[in-house]
Amino acid sequence: MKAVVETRDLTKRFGNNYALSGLTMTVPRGHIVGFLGRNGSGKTTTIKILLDVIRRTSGEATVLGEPTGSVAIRRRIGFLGEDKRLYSYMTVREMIAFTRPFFPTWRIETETRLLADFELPLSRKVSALSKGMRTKLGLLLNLCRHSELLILDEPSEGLDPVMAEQMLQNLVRQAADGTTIFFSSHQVAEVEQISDHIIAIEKGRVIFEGSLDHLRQRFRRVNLVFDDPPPPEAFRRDGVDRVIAQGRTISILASRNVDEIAELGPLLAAKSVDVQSVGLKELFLEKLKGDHANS
Amino acid sequence: MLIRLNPSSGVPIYLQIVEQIRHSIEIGALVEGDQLPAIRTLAEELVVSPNTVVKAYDDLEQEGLIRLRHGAGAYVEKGNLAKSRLRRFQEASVVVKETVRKLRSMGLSDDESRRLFEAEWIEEAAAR
Amino acid sequence: MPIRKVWRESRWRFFFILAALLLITCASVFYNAKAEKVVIESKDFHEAGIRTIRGALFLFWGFSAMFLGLGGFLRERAVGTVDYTLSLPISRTRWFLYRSLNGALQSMAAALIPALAVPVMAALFGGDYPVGDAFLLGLRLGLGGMLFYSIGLLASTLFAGDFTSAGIGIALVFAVNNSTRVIESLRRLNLQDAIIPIYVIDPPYLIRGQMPWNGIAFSLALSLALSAWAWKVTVARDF
Repeated sequence: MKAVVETRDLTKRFGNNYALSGLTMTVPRGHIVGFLGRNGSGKTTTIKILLDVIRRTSGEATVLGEPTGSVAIRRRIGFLGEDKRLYSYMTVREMIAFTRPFFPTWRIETETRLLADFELPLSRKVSALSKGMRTKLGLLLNLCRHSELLILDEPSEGLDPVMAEQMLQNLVRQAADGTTIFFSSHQVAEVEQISDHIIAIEKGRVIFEGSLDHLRQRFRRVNLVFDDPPPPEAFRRDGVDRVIAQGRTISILASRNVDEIAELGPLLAAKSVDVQSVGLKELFLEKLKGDHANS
Repeated sequence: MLIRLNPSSGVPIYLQIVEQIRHSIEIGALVEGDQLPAIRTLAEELVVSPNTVVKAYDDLEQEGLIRLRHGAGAYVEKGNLAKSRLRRFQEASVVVKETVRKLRSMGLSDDESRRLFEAEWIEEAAAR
Repeated sequence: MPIRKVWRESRWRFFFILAALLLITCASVFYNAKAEKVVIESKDFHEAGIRTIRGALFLFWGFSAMFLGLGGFLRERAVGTVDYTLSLPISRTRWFLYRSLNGALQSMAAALIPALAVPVMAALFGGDYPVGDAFLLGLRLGLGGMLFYSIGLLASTLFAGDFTSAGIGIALVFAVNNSTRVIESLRRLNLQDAIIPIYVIDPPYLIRGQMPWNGIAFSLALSLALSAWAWKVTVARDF
């Protein structure tokens, strides 16, 4: 099965508030997929629905081909929540011993290796662990499962830069072993670094998605400088996403047809034409503005 | 291997890896027979998706710069000089294209541009 | 093991309740025996036993059972572990079953063990109290009073926060206790008799007559209904 997660028109209503309004997305197998969105955009709600912690209002959602309510799929996935909280009264050893039997794909070699790498004290109670240690334990409990899919909600939240880097490294390693990683984040930098696929969400809907490299290669910013800039309507062409006028500069976000759009420069007698690549942050912010304008 | 990436530049990471490995080969930092890190090792080291490294290695293999041996890593291939030349021409044509576009947008005619180039080359040659 | 987790999370509360009830029971026997100021005979310990079981144990056990029903997913949400627990491959129904059975067994134990302590106390003071009777009274209390446990169980699924649940639970326990005394129709159902053997105790000797199976059955049925409601709430809720 090509997709590890699929949702169709997924909607979740809390009272009068729609946390998700028709979310349709596909998480492809074998990739590191970044679920990018602002705070309150619906990332955590989506993940909770996938785990059946919250029930959807309408629409469909499947994980590994099964409906989200299935208990069996939870044997094949891993989850690390934003809170990263575990049972405070258990020791590290007990937490591992408690979790291990649930997962038939658990590997002891990974457990041994990570215990050493993470330097986790076996006899210490969870309540006595620092946040960093707790995160490492939570990560260990997931990585040892070697599950088909690993879902993480804001994995580096609250972590110092060193720990965050270690976290990402471990995710990359897990991906190399065949686990599909689906992680939500509002930090563009880390999403841009390790993801090869992006799903961007705002106000409970997908605003863009696709292979990150594909997005990088498609989108360009074309800056045209004029003595007397023509009105934005003059730049309507196939592939023009947004046109911003700033003084003498017309800045165009182009999603394709870049050559033709750049030709508008000499065509409209621009003083200068400049074509730049677009980073994810810029793309995301532009799409948010566009979405705002449309809603 | 020293690879410095800029994930937020908008340039696909795999292309950055390809570029830097190619550059290392061109300047002789990597020579024929040298072993490159395994895909997962490099991915962990650079903290990027393994798929990205796979893409980069595939590209380099297609260019004939490296060869992937199944289960035995990747090695710098021989006979890379010829391809490298082709690559240089490809890159040069992009530079030319952009320059031509820029000059035209500045309002210069093709003749004027040609004269500027020739003046530059003559001056260069004279300086040497 | 999930069942061990459920036990671990409840054991200190259970031990505390058990210890408290044992203390009350033993102190009560001791006090009543001493207060009789008569020659130590079997008779005194029977009286003392009756008064104890009728009074102290029955009085406090209802509340204790209710407390044993608290906890669950809402509490886990408050401490932040509910996401982890629910992400494990165990259905909510199974978790609920473990928790409710664990609490029910603890409630029974909290009824039987102090009840059985009475003959032990009696023996220590040279008296004689029939163990069988003590056992039956404990059983009667435990089974007939399952209702109180289920009240706590239900409250814990409806209300977030232990204190809120406990508060509402206590109020309901009072209500049930008093209504069985006041409301005619309920008295007909012998709920009170199911728990409090005042009217069937033939002092100084204990139970004569039948165990009030009607009342016990009614209590159990009601308890099951409340538990089913608690289960439905648990399965349907958004955490």
